[in-house]
Amino acid sequence: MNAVSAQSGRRSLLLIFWALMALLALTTGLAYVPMGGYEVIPAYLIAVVKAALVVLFFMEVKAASRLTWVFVGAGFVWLAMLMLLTVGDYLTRGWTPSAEELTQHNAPRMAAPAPEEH
Amino acid sequence: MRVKNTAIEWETGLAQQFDDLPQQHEAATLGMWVFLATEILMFGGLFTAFTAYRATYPHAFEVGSEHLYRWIGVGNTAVLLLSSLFVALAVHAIKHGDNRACTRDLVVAAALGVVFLGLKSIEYTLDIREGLLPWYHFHPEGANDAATKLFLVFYWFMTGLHAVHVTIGIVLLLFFAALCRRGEYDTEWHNPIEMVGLYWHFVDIVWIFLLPTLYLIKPG
Repeated sequence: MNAVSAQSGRRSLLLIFWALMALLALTTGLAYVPMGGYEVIPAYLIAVVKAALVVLFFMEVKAASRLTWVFVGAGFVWLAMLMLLTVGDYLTRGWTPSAEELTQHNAPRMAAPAPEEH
Repeated sequence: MRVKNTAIEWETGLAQQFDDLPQQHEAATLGMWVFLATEILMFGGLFTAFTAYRATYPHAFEVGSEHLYRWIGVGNTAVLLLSSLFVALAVHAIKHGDNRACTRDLVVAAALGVVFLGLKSIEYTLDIREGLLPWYHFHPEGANDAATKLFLVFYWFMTGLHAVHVTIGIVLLLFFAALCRRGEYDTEWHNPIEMVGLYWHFVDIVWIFLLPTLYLIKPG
């Protein structure tokens, strides 16, 4: 293999490394900025970008076959389902009345009122 | 030819069931990613449970996170990223037939893994002294309620499981560094180096998500 491609390959790996370090500095800096409860959004976005850089370039998935992409994607798709459905459940629990509230509310209607007698 | 074997052609590394090395490489990569998918879901279960409880007890989880040493968490992230770089450089080196550089880079990556575990041990020691271990003299300063304890249970389990993976990774890196030094791999045949690399990068990715999950919760 020629020395030129070896050199450029090494350089791009170093570039990815410095990008990862810059993102680490960014996410650490942002951790000191109060954002009123929304700090998690940039923190996890940066983590996803860092993970994507590692998967695509360090793990060489960018240059891998389509079939490899399917296998890589499968793991993350199942993880996304697991997280979205679970977190969706927890975050929306207060949106509808509980079974208890429903029965309490319906109780008078369910017990048929005694007909008024004259 | 060193060894005559019906199953594996040792000189080329080609196993009997494959037509050629590219096909064998594809099979190894796919198999490794199937294994990593199971790992993604194992850690994913912990992250999901953590998120559900954090949504339920947001304040207690912030209090719990405040007890942790943020600088050790950030420093350890840098150590693991650097070690991932060296693994990527090792794979790059062996692809270009440089056995010596490959061996050296794998050893450096393993050494950085040891640095990671060293920092983690210091952190664990400080944590235990401050009474943050839920099963031993648990007495964190400030709020000492069940939900803060729950955060710390997650902290110990998630970082502990990750540390087990780092330990396994260090052993694997050194094992394959030794084989590489013996001249087992070359430009054509180096699947094991690439596969151990995939594992090590995965361990790095888990930590990339552990950092914001455990250490960067509370602003300031």
